[in-house]
Amino acid sequence: MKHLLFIILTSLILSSCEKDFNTPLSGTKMSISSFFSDTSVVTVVVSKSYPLANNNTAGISDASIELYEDSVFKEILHHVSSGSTSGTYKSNLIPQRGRNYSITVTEPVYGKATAQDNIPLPATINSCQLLQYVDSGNYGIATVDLNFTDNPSVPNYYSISMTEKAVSFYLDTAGDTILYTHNFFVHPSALTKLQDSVFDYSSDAILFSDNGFNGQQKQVILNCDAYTNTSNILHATLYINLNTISKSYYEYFRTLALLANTNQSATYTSVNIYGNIQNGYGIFAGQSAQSVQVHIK
Amino acid sequence: MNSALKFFLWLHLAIISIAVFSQTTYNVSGKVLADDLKPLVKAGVYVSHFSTRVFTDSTGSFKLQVKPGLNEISFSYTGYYSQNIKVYIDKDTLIEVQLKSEVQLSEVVITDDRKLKTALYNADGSITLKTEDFYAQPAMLGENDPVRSIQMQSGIQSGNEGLGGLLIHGGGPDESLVLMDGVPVFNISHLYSFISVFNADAIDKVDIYKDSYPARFGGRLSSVMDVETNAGNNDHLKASISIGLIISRFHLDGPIGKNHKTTFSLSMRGCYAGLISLPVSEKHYKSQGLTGRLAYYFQDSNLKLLHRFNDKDKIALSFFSNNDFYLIDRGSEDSYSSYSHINSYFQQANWANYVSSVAWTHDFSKKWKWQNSFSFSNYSSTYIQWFHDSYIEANLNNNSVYYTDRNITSYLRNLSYKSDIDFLPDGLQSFKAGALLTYIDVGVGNGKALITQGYVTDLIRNEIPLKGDNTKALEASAYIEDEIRPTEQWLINCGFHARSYTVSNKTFFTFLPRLNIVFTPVKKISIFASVSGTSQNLHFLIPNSTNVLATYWVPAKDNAPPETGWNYVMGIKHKLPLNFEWGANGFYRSMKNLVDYKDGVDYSFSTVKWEQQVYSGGIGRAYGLEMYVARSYGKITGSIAYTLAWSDREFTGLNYGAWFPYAFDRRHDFAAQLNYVISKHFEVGAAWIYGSGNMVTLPEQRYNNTSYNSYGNTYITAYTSKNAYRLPSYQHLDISFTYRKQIKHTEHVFNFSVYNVYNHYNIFEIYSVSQNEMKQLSLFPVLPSLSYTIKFGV
Repeated sequence: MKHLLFIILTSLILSSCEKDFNTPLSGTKMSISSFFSDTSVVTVVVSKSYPLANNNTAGISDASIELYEDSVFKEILHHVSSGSTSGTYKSNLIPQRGRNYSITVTEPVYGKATAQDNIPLPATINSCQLLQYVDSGNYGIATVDLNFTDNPSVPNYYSISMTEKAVSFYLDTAGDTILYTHNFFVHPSALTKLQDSVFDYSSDAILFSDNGFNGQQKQVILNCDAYTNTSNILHATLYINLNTISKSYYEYFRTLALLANTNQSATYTSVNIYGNIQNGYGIFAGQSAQSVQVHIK
Repeated sequence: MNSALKFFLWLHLAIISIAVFSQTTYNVSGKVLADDLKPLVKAGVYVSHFSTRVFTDSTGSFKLQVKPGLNEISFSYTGYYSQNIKVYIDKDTLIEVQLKSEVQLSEVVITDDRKLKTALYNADGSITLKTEDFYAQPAMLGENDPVRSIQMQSGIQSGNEGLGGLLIHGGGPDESLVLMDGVPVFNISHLYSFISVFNADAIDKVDIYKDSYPARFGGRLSSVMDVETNAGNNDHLKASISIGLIISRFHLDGPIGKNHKTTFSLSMRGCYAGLISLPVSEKHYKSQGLTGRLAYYFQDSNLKLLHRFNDKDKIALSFFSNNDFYLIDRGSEDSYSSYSHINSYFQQANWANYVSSVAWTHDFSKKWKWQNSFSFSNYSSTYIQWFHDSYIEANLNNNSVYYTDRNITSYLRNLSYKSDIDFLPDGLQSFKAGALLTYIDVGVGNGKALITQGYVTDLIRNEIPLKGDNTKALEASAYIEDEIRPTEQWLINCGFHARSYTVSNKTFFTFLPRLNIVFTPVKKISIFASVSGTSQNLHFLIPNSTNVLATYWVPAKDNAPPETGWNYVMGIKHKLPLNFEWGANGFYRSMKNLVDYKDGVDYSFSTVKWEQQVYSGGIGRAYGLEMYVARSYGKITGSIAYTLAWSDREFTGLNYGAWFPYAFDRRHDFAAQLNYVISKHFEVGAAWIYGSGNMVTLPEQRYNNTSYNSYGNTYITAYTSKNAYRLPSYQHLDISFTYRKQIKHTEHVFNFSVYNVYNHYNIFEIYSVSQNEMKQLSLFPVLPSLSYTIKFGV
């Protein structure tokens, strides 16, 4: 009896419990990625999605991508990459502010995917001035006051990033002075409270909305480390890039920042990255770019 | 019509009226009793040719006026055979009538057979289950679980592996108010909802209000489960001992003292599954090249004491406690050429309820009753989890570890004073009023996390206190409820429930009207309609329906105000010959101020307070149709219940503002049971339930992350939209065989049951074992069980 009991209980526990769970298969779709602006031609990267149990991905080089401006066909993008970077397509057209753009991506196996977005009108930059620059020897800390006016009546989203251009010199072996130029990406931080702000680490940019100042002037105080590290830097300029980004652009990076925070741990609630591709994954998002500069040295 | 004719008719009517009102009448009073001499409350008393109908009061008494001469008086009560008596009245008369139960009467006819009874479907839409109803269900692991009986009813989801609570009319487990002797119980599950904390031995009856919501109840959005525990019989001591493979229980009840003014009931139950599962699981893991163990224990105890000082005063003391303990420990070691990787995972959960109350009842008269009670309810849970990763090399200095330890505790305490007055002016009306004052103390997510990492020679320890939240609040409520029977066909229950809730110097008021109308156009058919305003000052946070360990009760606050709702129900019930009956109804509920977790928050490792992890202000809707057919009495009893329902939510910040299915949006829910008393010794039962799976958000594909440089992963996981994936169905077939033998005053009961006969893998939890692989955990496979119960003093 005791033996029988043990067999029953063992079989119960062994038969319980764990088995593979197959996640819902939506089928492979095209993954499309394009961040376009009014300063360069449209670039679209197309690849295949893949199931969880398979880490293989590949660019798609046989897609046909039609580009439309305000619903008017403009051109078919041309494939410009091969090998490991296969799947990159470019246009000849440089998008314009205030226009809507859409793409239709057609591929023999994965069908047709579409997306549309716009290039928002830029904000009016009223002023930008260096409030303070503290040189600590190896590097300096710059504080900048950026003042701009938000476009009224429509919700706007912004991206602020900063770059530094510095000219320095060195003496070559012959004792001649050689001048050269550095371009640095600097990491900005906002001292002003910005609504709905997230940090986009891929472009070192602060993203935020006009929530609270729609149609009004906005003053943003920014801090950054500047590279004036050695005495052989002759002069340096900070470029403050105030890009007006579309809502899709903002949502994509907002959700991406959320995902980065989770470290994909099981104890976090899931994050579905924003996408605006119909019948596919990914993002097609526009921005208008503008820049002002302040001299720090 | 000319004026002469009008005058003639008015004159005729006036003459008749004068004749009627001048006629002498006599008082007929008395009592209507059951066959066990208990008074039958609200039994109908009807004088046929006088068109008078009254109902008995709380003591079973009635009083009416009849004309002199021969009168035929009818007495009726649901579940009992009506009785007509003819009596000549020439003076004030006292009549006492004893009605026969339909079940009892059947037993008179067939004396050697046992009869079973399923739930009683009341005309007002409520359902009553008594002790014998629980024992009519197939026993599982030797237990006749009251909640399992309730889950067989239409409109109530038929179980859910892993997540306890009642899921009624598309609501969550928090939306049903569960009361034990008037005191809320916040977690009603043992063994991850395999059975409930309600021991059938300790329960006298359970009332479920899912279609109507009487004004005397409040505090939850959806429904009420009102459990009344057994105070013990006042005749002689009765005892029972039940021994099962993993659960055993003991019960004792009876009078204390010679005058039998005091009675008591004591029930205790324990589960020792861990004694068996520990060695078996260790062997199981070892056979897979792993280390690990699994253990589960629980206990619960009920005690009730009732003392009757006299005919008018009695005091009842009620205690209940339960304690659950669950542990799983799993580890593996992978050896490579130059190092070994040791990985271990440990999880332990404890949860406990403690509920106590003292209630004093005073009858001022047969019409007035006053009850005062103090109560205390405490629910607490502790959750311990650790992940340990170690890399062991030949050079000990190179050994490195990454340990994450978490310890989280939460509690919810209610201290209440309640006062209720019942007034029965006559048999046609029942009036209730009362007030409740509750001090609420909630602690959420207190604890700490310890992260240990680095080389063993240079370990870095980082202790992080979790952002727990301790909140105190005061809740006051009052109600007025009136039940009127204007005619034999109509029953109207109306009233209001008003609540105030003060937390962090902010007070919220809600005024909640209630109305339930029952119309009985012909005998045995009733049509009812109900509308109820409801509110809920506690939110319940569930990360998703497949992770049951991280659920928290949290108090409503200024930034997450109390939830409110409106319930609308309309239905019909029809009693058929041969003890059959059927019913159907439709329901709709709207909800406001719901809360849900934001995307991308850590629900078990809270470095921010819960308020910052949730969205509030969500709205919801639940609607559907339900129907049932049941045979309530007889040797063969059974029921079939089906519910078709939808339940959706909308939050501005979730799912991009679009409506999404609630996690417990169960589209189809089907429950069938059959019980057959083969002889007075032997009975069999079977129950089958089937429900659509819960709704979850799951990963479906991956794609390239073109911004990966700073985000670590080269891919992005695409999930379904919020709760867009329906898990596989939940279903199981259970069968039960019971043999009983009575020898003098001792009864022996042997029960053999099989849970989940065809071994369906119902999902308890889904989890990732790696970035590329997910597993599902099912807790309860096919489970045969055997139990023996001996009852003394039968």
